[in-house]
Amino acid sequence: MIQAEFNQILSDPLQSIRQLSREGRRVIGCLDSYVPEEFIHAMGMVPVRLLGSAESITLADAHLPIFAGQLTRSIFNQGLKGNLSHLAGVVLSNSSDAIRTLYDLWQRHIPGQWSALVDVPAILEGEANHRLFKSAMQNFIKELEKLAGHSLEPAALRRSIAVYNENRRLLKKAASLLGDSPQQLSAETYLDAVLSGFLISKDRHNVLLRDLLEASSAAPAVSGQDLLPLHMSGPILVDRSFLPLLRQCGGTMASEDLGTGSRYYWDEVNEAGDPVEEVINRYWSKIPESYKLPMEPRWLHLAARLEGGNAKGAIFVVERYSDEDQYDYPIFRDRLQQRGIPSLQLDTEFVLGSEQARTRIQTFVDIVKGRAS
Amino acid sequence: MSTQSKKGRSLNSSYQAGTILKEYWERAKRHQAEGRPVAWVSGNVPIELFWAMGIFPVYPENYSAVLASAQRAQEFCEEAEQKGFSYDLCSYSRINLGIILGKGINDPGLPFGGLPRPDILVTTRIPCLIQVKWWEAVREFFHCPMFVVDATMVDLPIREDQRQHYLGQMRELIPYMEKSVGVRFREDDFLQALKLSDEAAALWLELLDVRAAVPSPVGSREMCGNVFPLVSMLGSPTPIPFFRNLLDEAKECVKEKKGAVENEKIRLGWDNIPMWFNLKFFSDVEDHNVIFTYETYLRYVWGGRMDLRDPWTAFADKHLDVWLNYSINQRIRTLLSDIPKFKLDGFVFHQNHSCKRFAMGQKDAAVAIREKLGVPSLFINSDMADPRAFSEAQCRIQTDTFIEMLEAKKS
Repeated sequence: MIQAEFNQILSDPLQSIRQLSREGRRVIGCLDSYVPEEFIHAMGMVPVRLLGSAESITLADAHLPIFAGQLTRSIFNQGLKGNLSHLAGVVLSNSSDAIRTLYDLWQRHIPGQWSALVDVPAILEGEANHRLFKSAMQNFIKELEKLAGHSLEPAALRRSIAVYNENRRLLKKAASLLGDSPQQLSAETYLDAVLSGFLISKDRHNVLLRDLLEASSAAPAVSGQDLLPLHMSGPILVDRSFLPLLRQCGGTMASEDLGTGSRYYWDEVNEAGDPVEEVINRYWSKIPESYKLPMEPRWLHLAARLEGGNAKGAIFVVERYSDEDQYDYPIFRDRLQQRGIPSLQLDTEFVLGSEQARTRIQTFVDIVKGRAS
Repeated sequence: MSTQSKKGRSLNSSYQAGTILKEYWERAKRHQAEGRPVAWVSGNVPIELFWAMGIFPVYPENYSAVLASAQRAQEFCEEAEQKGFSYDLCSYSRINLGIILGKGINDPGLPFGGLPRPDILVTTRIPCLIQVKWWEAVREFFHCPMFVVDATMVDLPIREDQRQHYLGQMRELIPYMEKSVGVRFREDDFLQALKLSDEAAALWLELLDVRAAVPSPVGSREMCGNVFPLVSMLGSPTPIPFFRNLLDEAKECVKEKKGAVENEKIRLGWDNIPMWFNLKFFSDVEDHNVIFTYETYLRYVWGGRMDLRDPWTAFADKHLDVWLNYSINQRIRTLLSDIPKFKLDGFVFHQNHSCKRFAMGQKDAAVAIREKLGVPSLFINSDMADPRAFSEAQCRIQTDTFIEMLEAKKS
């Protein structure tokens, strides 16, 4: 029942977002984990995540080199084709070099659509950077207020924070069921649950998650106890065909620290303090993405999640041309090796479910199983 | 394209460039041997601070360019790739990581006897985020202190909050360096370094301006060989006599109407870092009476003049006002202003596989200069250091066709 809803939401992400607009909601497309969605939500709008796609690039390549990467190219392509024209606006943050310059291109070529840049620094250390980070967030509030035509109300923000924090707690609970042995929640359902949250309002997502968790807790453990528990890492995993492929190869995801997974939802906002300040603090101190410094909290999160899921190996799903993650991989691989955890890097351009990937995954699973036995 | 042999340098002073480079690397080693601190730094760090504080700033990216020029980049790139660093990553970084993870920085087979070990790593996001990731990987190996200077991209004029952000970081960097490597900051030394830096920059920029003359006194190949002191030695006295000699000679050539190309017919501009393994590309076209006489890389990447009546503001602005930190609109505005000034007939954009930040926006720039100025462009897909990304035959055909088209357009 819930799985059917996830299927419907994820079968056509653009359609799911469009549906929100049809319902009269002002929908804002967000492209990054440093866009403070709570502010957008509190202004009565619906933040959704632009996840890109594996589609052929027909228009964007007139403006972007191929090495800008599929995520940047496909989102810009969707924008140029008018597939995102129903959005009330688009918000990017100063993340990778490609995404930052995408903002410039968006303004140049889709000028009729409201767009904003959360111009935060890359280095999340030091007083000067903290001041700039705070001022970038406050400037974003001003931009939103201009768009909405009204001020950000503290009470509304508090309600939004509560909605988002509940969402984070529910997703953490889902992650713990995923990490249970035997698993109480299948990897495929977990991924669907996480991804669907990017495409609907968090209020509705919370309802679905509550139902899912209730059903999963009451149900017997999911099948597949003989599967090899693995940890998944990387910036983005949206290819739903990957986890079934992993299962066919004898493995399953038992934990993750994906950019579109736990790194996105892990940290909560302190509900006790000034709401604007606390939202800013949350984004300043959240588990940093690969395009932010420092690196160590990201590594510690990866290690903790991997341990929590009792994973026997790690697969890094890295988008081609996602340089920041490409630099991290050899470092994390070596650190994992020192702990006796083998790892595999899969280079992708959104699509993972290829026969080439199958061969590599199968070999990796066999090797790790062989070591474990 | 003909294969006639190339002439020597247009400016005799250019021959000093090799000596300056060699002395720089020897001096770095000597500095460390004397027990003084060495920093590994990257393009667009606040270089004057290092010279003022007695910390020798070593540029691994220059070292990578040197290896590329010596046709030795591939072996180190492949070494890094074998260790897990993707082919798609910046080739400067792959060369450097290939050295570190291969035979090491003291390998006697390396130019200038290898690289001195860093006591501190300092880098900046200003040219790109990749530089920061590269330094993270380097730190994993050397376990030394690291500081990163951040910046958000600018549209000129620079905003006050961007300036204050930069200066705020300087107030953090200075005590960090003092504490990490045991040096002291003295404002007088710093102001003297700024003065030297500005004097060198003034000479360099005037030299670039002189190249707007028809015929141009010196082409890109030679100028790429002369840029190193601008990258790494601003704040020390070394670049000043070198740049002054170059400028004096160039002015003399202009006065005598002596061009680098005997019968200059076509003038070109270049965007992005050159192909260090193939600087010959710039001089090959000279057989067609074509000269490259303008480069964004030489003019805007390393910073410009400073108004020293307000030294800290000028210092911040100089380091923020660089091409790689420009928004796309700012880059386009700059090209639209410079291309007529340099009387360029065409423009070549290097789609540098290793430098995304440089390559982003190039297609929009090409459209803008065609529509607004009627100046056509050529795109070359290659890399600044890794020769495997370059197809000589394809490049030659494209370039020949482009030049023929420009000749037809002019006739």
